[in-house]
Amino acid sequence: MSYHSLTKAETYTVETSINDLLNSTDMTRLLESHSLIKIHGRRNDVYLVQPEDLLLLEKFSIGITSKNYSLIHVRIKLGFFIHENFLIGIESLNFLAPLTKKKVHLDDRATQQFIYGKDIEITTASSKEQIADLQDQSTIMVFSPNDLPLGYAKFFNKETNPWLQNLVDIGIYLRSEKSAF
Amino acid sequence: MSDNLVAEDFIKRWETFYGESRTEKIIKNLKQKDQRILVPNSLRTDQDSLKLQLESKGFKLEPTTEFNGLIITYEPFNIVATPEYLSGMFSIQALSSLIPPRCLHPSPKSLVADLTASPGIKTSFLAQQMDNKGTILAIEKSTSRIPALKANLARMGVWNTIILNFDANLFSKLDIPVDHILLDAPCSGTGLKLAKNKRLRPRILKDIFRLAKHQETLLETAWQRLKPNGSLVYSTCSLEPEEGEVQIDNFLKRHEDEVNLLPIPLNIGSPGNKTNWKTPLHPQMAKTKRIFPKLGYDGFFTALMKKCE
Repeated sequence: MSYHSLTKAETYTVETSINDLLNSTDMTRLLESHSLIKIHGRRNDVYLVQPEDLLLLEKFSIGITSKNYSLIHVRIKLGFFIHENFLIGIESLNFLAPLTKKKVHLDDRATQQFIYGKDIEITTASSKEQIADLQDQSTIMVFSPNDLPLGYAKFFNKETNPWLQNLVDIGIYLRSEKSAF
Repeated sequence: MSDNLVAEDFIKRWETFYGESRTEKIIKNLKQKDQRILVPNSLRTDQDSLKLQLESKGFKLEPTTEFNGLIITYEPFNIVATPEYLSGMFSIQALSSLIPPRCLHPSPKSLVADLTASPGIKTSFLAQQMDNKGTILAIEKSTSRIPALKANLARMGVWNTIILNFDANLFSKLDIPVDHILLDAPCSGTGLKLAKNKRLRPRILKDIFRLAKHQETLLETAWQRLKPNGSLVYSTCSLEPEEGEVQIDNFLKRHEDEVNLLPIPLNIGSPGNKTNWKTPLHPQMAKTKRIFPKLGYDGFFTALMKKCE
């Protein structure tokens, strides 16, 4: 078998991380019909899959010996584990963006800086309004003025100048297509 | 007419197959530099919204008649640095590459195999047709081409794929019958515009016969795993009949009772019987498409086949 399911503890970590990010219980709801797996040999990447995917994966291992093929990716990569910490991956952005209730919209200038991998100081009034209820050091989804998802950031609630630490952004597709994927 | 870009051997071949005047046109058009063409990602946007969004940033765009594409006529800065590109609102693609996925009509419940998936643009067009549902097996043999495939599918917001790194020649060993197969076979690439390709040197001629054999094996292995009533689209970006019409002609001879060649449902290119091949081709060959290089299009061959029950 080229994959394995996550342990209960790992599943709980992923579920709570994503629920926090979305500010909802959508991840819990998704896990009623989906499973979380890791692929052998693919670091500690976590994938959200459907039951029929698992049936297909079992058929792969019947037809071809593992020497001749390698399973790379299944459906939606949510992120990966480093030790026991779950880190959100850029591949999950388009899937999770419509579900999140915790957004920060940047202006055009900050958008361009963010997709160049920079941290952002929050200065505009509209962005300040969106961060009013956010907890210090929470992970949030960052959007452009026209609601395009740009990436993930950690929010630091400094009274004088609240700022966003860039965790990962869509500029990675240009900057490091070969090394990051 | 020969110059250092296209070897005399190719010119002679094409004159035999397509005649002098068409060959002259082929060479002229192969040297054409194409403008960049954007194709909206229907999972995320449409042609009008994308045009408005990019024009507000200073880009000038003209709509194309096919595939809802947009030709960039003025680019104030590189369009791939825009959040719109990076968040997968569109891809940049020669229009001929969109023909194979548009020939198949997968449903949101289909199981589809893309046997040579990287860099993933055709796979993402299949996903768009399937509304990001069902399952696509994106198979790629070359390990070095996997990162581009993963990155493009993630960027375009495609989440109905399983990516496998293995030789598609082994596909028949999997006990997984599929509804549709896209086989954009590895080929000599002699139909690609020279600006993005290479010089057509005589040694490429030797590759044609080797690659034609490889394409034949891939076609056979794919056919074995296609469900009855399923469809397979075969394509190459080559102008050589051995990788196009002759390949399909031989395939029809081997599987005459099982194959129904379907017309390509797009008003582009010429019927695939324009080749003056040594022996007459199957009459059904007129249902295939031969696309000669022109503005926005590489030289291309496509055939759509249905497996009879």
